[in-house]
Amino acid sequence: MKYLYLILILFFFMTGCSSKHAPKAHVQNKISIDKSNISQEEDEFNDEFGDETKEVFDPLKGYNRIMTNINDKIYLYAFNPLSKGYAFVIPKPLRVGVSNAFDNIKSPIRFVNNLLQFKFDHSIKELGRFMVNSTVGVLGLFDVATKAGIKRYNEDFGQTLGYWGVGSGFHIVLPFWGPSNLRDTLGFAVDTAIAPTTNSGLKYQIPKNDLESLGYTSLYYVNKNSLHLGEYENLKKDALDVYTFFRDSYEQKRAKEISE
Amino acid sequence: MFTLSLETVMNKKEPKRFQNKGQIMLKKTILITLLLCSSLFAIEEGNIKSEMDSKIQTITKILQNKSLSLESKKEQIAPTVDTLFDYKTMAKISLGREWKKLSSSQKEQFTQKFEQKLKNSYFEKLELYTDQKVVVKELEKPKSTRIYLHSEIIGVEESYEVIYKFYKIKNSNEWEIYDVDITGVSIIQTYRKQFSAFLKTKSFDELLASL
Repeated sequence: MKYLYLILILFFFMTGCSSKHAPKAHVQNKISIDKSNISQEEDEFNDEFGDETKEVFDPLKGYNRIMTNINDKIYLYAFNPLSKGYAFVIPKPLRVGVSNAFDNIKSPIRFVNNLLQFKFDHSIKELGRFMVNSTVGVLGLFDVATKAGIKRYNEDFGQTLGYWGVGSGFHIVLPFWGPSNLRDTLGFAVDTAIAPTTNSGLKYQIPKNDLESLGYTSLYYVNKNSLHLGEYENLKKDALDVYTFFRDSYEQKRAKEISE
Repeated sequence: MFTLSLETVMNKKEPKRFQNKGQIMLKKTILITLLLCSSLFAIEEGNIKSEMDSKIQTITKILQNKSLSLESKKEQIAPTVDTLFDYKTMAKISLGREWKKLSSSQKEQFTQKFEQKLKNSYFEKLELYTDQKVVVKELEKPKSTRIYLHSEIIGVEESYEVIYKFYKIKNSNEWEIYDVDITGVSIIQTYRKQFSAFLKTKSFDELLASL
C-alpha cells in the first residue's frame, strides 16, 4: 500500500503539471465581415463557453473507459442493491445520523485543508462545528451546527493542491471510486491515509486493522449512497457518452471547488 | 423567426389585390400579439430575484403536495418551467459552432428535440425530490448582458449550489435563462462537449436520432 502512494507521488510530479492551465479562451477568427446582432450574440456565447471542439489531454482514455464500464456494473449490480437493502432496514433519520457522524469525525481533515489554503475564518468555523457537534450533537450524530447556521466547508487535499497551483493532471477513473485525476488521486490518498476512519497506524485512528478499516469505509459509502439512491442512474440518462459525460462533469465541478 | 415565416406564408397565399385595410390590420394585430407573447416569458432585471423566488417556491410547493401524483405534479410544474428557460438559445449554444452550418429546418428540428430532452431530463430529476428546500440567494452581474442568480438546494445531509444564468435580450430590458450551473457543472457546457464529440465521428441526423 505504501509503495502505491510512492509510485503515485512520483508519477504525479513527473506528469502532474503537464496539462496545467490549459488556455480556456478560444481565439476567434474574425474574418466574417457581415455581423448582425444575432451572430454577435452567438459569438459572445461561444466565447463564454470556450472551444467545444478542443479535446482534453486524456492519455488513459482506453483504460478509463473500461474502468467506467466496470464501475458501472459494480454500482448497478452490487453497490446499489446493497444500499437499497440497507436503506430498507435502517430508517432514514438514523442514516442521516450516521452520515453526520462520519462528516463530523472527518472535520479535522477539513480544518487542516482550510488552514493550508489560508482560509482562516472557515477553519475556525470547522473547529467550532466539530466542538459543537461532538458535544451537543451527541458524537456528531446531529448536525446542530448547520441548524445554527454554521455551514460545513468541504476542503480536501486535492483542492489544497489545486489552490497551491498544482494542475489537475490527466483524468483517471479509480476502481470503485470513479472519476478522478492525478492531483485528486494524490489528494485522496493523503486524506485517506490521515483519516480517523482508516487504518494506517496513526494513534487517533479508530480502526486497528485493515478489516476494520474496510468495514468503516464500506459503511460510509453504503450509508451515503442510501441517501442518494437513483441519482447516478438519473444522471447517466443525460449522457450521450457516459465516460466523457462524467469526466467533463467531474473536472468542471473540481475546477469550481478549487476556485472558491 | 416564427413571425417572419408567417408573414411570408400569408403573402404567398393572398395575392396583393385581395388585401384590403381590414386584412392588413388583422395581420398587424396577429404579428404584434405574437411578438408580445414571445417576450412575455422574459423577466425584467429588477424583478429577477423576486420572480424567480416566487416561481421556485411555487414549484417546491407543488412537489411537496403529497396528495398529487407524480404525473399531475409534472403537469402543474411544466408551464412555470417553460416561462423560465429560453430553450432556443440553449439549443443554439449547446451546438456551438456547428449551429451556423445547419439549415433552418435542421435548426428547428434540433431545437425541438433538444427542448424535449431538457424537459425530460428536468422532470426525471424531479422524481428524486424528497424534502429539500430551495433558497434563493444573491444576484451577480459579471457583465452588462449577464446576470447570475445564486441559489441553494438544501438536503438532509448535503446542499448544492445552483446558479441560474440570465442573458439580456438584445435591444430590450428583458432577461432569460440560457444556462443552469449545478455545483459548478454547467448543463449547457456539458451538452456542448457531448454534442461536439459526437459530431466528430457521427452525422447530424444520428445526433437527432439519439436525442
